[in-house]
Amino acid sequence: MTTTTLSIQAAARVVTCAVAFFLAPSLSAAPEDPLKSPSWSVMETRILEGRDYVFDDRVSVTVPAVAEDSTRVPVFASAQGFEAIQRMVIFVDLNPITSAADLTPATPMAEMSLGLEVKVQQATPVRAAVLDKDGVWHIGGGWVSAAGGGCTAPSIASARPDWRERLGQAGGRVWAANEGQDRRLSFTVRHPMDAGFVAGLPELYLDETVIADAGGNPLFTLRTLASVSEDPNFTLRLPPGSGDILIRGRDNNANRFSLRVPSDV
Amino acid sequence: MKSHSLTGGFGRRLAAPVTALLVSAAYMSTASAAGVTQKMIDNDFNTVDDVVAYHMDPKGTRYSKLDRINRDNVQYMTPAWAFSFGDELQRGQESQPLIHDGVIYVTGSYSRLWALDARTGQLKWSYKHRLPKGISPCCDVVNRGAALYKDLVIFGTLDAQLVALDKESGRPVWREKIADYKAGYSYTAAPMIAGDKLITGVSGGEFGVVGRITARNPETGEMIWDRPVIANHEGTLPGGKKDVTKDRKGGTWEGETWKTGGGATWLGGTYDPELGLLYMGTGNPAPWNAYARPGDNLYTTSRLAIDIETGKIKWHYQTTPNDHWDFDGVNEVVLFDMEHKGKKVKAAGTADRNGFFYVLNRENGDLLNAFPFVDEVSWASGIDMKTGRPIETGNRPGNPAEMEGDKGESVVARPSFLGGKNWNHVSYSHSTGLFYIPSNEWEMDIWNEPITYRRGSAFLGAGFTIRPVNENYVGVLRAVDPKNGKEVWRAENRTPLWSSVMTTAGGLVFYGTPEGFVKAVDDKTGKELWSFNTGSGVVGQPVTWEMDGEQYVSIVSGWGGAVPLWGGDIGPLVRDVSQGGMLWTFKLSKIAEKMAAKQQQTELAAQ
Repeated sequence: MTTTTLSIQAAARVVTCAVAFFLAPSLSAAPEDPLKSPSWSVMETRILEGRDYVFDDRVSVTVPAVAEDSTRVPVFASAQGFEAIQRMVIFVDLNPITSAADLTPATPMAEMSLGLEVKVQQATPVRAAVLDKDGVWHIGGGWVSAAGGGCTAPSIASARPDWRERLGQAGGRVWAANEGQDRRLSFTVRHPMDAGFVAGLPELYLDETVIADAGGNPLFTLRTLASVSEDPNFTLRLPPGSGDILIRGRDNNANRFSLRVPSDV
Repeated sequence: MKSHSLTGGFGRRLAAPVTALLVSAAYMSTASAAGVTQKMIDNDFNTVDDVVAYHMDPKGTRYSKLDRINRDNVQYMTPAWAFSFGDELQRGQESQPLIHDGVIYVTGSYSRLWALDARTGQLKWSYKHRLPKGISPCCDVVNRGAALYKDLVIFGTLDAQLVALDKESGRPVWREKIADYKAGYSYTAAPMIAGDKLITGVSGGEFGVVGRITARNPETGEMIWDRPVIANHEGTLPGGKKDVTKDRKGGTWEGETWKTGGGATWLGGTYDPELGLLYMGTGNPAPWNAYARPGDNLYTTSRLAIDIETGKIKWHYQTTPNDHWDFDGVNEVVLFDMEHKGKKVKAAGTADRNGFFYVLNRENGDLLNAFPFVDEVSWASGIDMKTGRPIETGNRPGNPAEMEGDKGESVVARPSFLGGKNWNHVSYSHSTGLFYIPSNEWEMDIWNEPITYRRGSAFLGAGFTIRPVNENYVGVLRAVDPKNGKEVWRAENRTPLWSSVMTTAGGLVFYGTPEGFVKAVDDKTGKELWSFNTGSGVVGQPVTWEMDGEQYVSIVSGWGGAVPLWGGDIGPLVRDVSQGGMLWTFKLSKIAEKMAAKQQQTELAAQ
């Protein structure tokens, strides 16, 4: 799969988007969306909750230029050189379910990364927004070209009579990255992540996962919606520390899963 | 609408503290003070502005003190709004709505639940439980309702799970397994709140399951006590000590037949807060073929009084010992007070599948009165008032072991296995002192076949056909006096009655019919005063409440339940009933009332 990295130039000014949204007759007051998304004004309220924002090349989003499989588009978001990141949100502008993941560290971090796979319903910008200590969203993103239909396709699990027995099976690993500078965690959970757009298949998706250290102290809360692909894989940078990682999660029907990921780094 | 998936935002409902998942009672909600308390549930009968208990009353009377809508003005009742459950899952709507704080909570087929604005019917949120393949509901994919406790709305699902949802957002707060759906268990009843505990039974009586009653902490789902209702099975006392359910008579099961003994507790119970007793019926023994399980088979086809604190059985009354006809005696035990031999008695009335109505002393289980409430009962000529046992007529199907070939001798028995009355609840009117029984007149051929138990499979050992006994009607709504068994009036219906009944201080009896009508009849005469065609068969449970100075009546419509699945020769009668899934809400039309008043004035002036 060919991938391209698209970094977005930081916009010069930060404005209050509420002003831009409700009052400004010209868009000159808001930072111009470098990806020229037709629905950017919707993202301002839906995702960014009316806060100030800036397009910032310290936030990089790696996506394939063309999605080979619209139900499974790899996304890697990385934010570096910040003071203290409080949240990282992954969203897909033109999906019927816009948000995919919302990662909140227990302790704000200077660097965060999150890799996952998402569904895309059509060609769309895929973005990451991080909320820094300054209370401003810093945004990066890229366009994915796609045949589409990823969100309205039924899950593979939904055709399996035994899907419930497999639900919540999970596995993962921890390894050292960046020449031992930091630890990374990868884990995967067996889950249909159904979006509820197929008749007779109510929505069923992982909605909250807590990642904790070996002592049970939370490191991250990861909130997800059905834009995340079936049998989700997540890869993220861990804060400094050592020992096993404990993961507990649930879906919107309160089905639960838990996992202990051993670590020798 | 707070369902967030379509808008894609992470709204405030997900803004829980990071630690929420890791504290021991994970997913605990941040309880608000404005929730539903046990006191409110116990007192539901006296508060007309909400419906926070199943039956509108823990005592199960289904009687409302409201009289704004009454015999004189019910003709002006019109729909206020209607709500479609949607999806393609349009069958078997047997649910009772709950109303609290301007919101209606209503469940539907296939384990779905909606919260609606009670004034407009507008959707607040919905929860659609994702069911596994391989669930085995015997008698349609129904759900009979939810329970409210503090800020939770709790309901059971067809895969035998309990889900507690945040009343405001619809997000699950906890979820617990009641039993293993792969072993044939399911859950269709409304869970019940009694003594600050969440009480559930189990469904799956046709699959060789074992009936039990379980009490949980409603806020966490944690088990408090667990009581199997089949003798010799091990239960749990509060604190965790194991406790085997004793066979009071001893030896009422032969060999190991108790292991798959049945007795599903599939219909929920009633509760007397003063006595601290929970009343619940138990279903038929398994298999249907009684030759496979000689003895009385305690505690199947019984009414149990259970100490709400310990889960211990205080008394039992068995209606059909060694049941041979699927007289699945789970029927609700309605608590009322009655004059008996010059004394006021704390009584309990129950109309059994087997065709008899029983009046018991609810403090000790003594039989006070028993009489048939259907036109003819073939299997017993009466109830022995001394022993409390039926006087059998020898109407049992023959033993296949005594025959050549596989099939035992067939007999005609009445009522049929779908019962003189099935699950749909009676009402006791405090205005008239009468019981209003949605009954059916039908009979069956029944014969036995040899059987072996296979986990999760149907466990019957019997064959049957069912047919009406009258040319023109099956259903009979009856007004019956519990003191003497006298039928005060009857209203016949072409098809079987499968909806619950409600009475009001306005002198009205409300019920529904498979033909699609919701009806209001005069509680003294049975005369029909109002009807409305909902468009699909009505097998739901009417409720009424007061809001903004007006009286409302709500009922779900949507044909289904056991009749179309098990009804044999009844099938042709109901073949053309359309499926559906709607909640209808009615109130008096102000325009119609005004026009009638004007008409009256004009008439007076002309005189």
